[in-house]
Amino acid sequence: MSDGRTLVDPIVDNNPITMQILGICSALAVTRTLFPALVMSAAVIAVLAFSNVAVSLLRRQMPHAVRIIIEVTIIASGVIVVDEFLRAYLPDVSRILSVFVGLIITNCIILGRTETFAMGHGPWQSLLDGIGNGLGYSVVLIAVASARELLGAGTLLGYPLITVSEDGGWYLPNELMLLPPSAFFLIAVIVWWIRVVRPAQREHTVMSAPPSKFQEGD
Amino acid sequence: MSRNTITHTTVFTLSIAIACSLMVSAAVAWLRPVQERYASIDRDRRVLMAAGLIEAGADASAREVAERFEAIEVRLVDLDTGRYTDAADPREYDYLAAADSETESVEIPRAENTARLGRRAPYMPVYVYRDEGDLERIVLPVYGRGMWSTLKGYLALESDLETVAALSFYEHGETPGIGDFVEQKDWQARWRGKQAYDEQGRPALGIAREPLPADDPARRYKTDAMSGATKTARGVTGLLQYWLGDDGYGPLIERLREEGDAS
Amino acid sequence: MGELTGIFLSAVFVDNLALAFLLGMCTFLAVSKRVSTAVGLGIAVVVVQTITVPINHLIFDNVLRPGALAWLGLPDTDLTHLRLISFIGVIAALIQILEMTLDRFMPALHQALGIFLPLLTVNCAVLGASLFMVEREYGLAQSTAYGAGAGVGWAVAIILFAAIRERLHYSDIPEGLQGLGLAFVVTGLLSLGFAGLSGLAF
Repeated sequence: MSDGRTLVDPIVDNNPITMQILGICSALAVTRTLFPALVMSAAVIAVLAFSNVAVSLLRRQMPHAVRIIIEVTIIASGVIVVDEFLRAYLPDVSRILSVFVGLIITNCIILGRTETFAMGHGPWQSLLDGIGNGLGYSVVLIAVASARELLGAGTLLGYPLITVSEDGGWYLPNELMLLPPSAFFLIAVIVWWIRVVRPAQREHTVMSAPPSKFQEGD
Repeated sequence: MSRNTITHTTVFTLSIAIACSLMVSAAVAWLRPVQERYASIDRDRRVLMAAGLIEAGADASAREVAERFEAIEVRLVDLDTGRYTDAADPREYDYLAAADSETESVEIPRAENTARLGRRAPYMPVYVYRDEGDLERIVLPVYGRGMWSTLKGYLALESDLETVAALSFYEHGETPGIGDFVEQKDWQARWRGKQAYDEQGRPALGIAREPLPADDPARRYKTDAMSGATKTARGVTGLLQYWLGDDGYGPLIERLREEGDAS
Repeated sequence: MGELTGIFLSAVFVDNLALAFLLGMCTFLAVSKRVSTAVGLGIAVVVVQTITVPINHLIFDNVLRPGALAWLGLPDTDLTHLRLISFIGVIAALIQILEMTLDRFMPALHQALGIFLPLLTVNCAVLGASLFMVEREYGLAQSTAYGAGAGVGWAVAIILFAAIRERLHYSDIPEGLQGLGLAFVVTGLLSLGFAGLSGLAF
């Protein structure tokens, strides 16, 4: 696969969240406003790039039996460094992200990519794959967070864009957007839209006729 | 050497462990001083916000914080007597660590422990803002258990030592979307002007348990009930009652009312 | 109601890791197409949580916390920044041991669980429960109650979800929304439903 495709593929065609079903936990919980989502995206891209490259450089020496725990160790070290950085230079955001920065370690995207890609490709390719998947993840996060902040509070990055009724404006904020489930609904819409424009990604789960053991009146 | 032998596996694993530990320790060692510096600037900024010297939510630079903080006098209070003490450096004193330590901490009488704390430190730092020599505002660190976590904040009283100038919380681990109202500026603004003590001089400040009608006299001391977040709300009321009471800053406030602010 | 029961019930209903905190979603969405597999995974999660949270508490309290190493003559050492890696180490080790034990003594169950058990090593809910335990400063008994409750809560959520998904096979769903898209919507609705329990005080 060409370098360009490695980088761009995971944004729509093989998006870690909407296609690979990875990395969802944090996507939902840190997207109430845009700024933490941006910081989280940057953190994930950084850790993904670092881990993919590190694992790729070590892949020829990696013993088979311990490879998962080694990968987790490398990822965890990357996450700890990023976490300490955030606490030093962005302490307020670090508090909002709290538990979820640590959970980047279990973010399935990272372990998924190191195991399925970095173990079989060279460092440059792995770097691109890491960044590409990080971007795919970020795109979904930013889309959801922007919608939630805008519709839930009328602001974006803290700047008021729609005048809310509290401040004398016309917009009554959609408080559902401030609750976690709204992230689910928004991602469902994103998934739906992607599958409309990319029919290859559609699943077919609906049965065409009910099986006979279900009788009328059951 | 094949990479799946036991020797190779052991050597490899150990090397990775050492390399990662070095990387993490180096990062932590490098960043700790920065974190601590920011932590103390952060703390000073919060005190200034509570004292009303900085706009709540404003983006004050480190230099601005340092400048304005010069107007604040930090004193260490002996909670038992209500007198200022020089037992430790008020800027450096870690009251949470003291509350945890076996040797330094003081027991809290059960009946008074509405903040549901373990033990407390013998001293607490307080921040006095003076205008032309007279006490204008006093900022008191307060903390107590909410539903899940310790709520930490500052209570600022006006010069009459009765009226609330501000109440803010800067740290908590309450349920997102439900208990985290304590960190919202709008909610915090509700406390301005409330009276801390009732006619008999007992701590009355808190969150109402039920919705109060607009003309209810209790509104002098209480802010609106918070539906769906009862445990967190009770935690707030509990800690306010504790710190305003006899085991908290009660003796200090009484002494300041009687003697003024001299010692 | 006892404090421990209160912690347990809160963890199951009010602070459900899957539906209130949205943890463990990858496995939640990927492994919930049939009720039978969801039940297997749920049981595995309960076992793992009930064991790892108290063990992690012991490690945190006796090794990592500032002042914990005072008995070694190192009262100022603060190793809290190592909590992430040590918790994961414990979880990974426990899951490995559990797998080997099941394989030896209960091969049928081991076969049924299949790949799901090792999958739990990277389940955010499992790590998340330990991290919350630290944040809320639980003691040993409380950690055990909390671990059990967190596991049961997650299991209840995924079983409910799988049951709904099985029934969705007979609905008329737009093509683009079938499968993952609708799964997200249903999870959102379940989450809203559980949010209604948030006023419960135990």
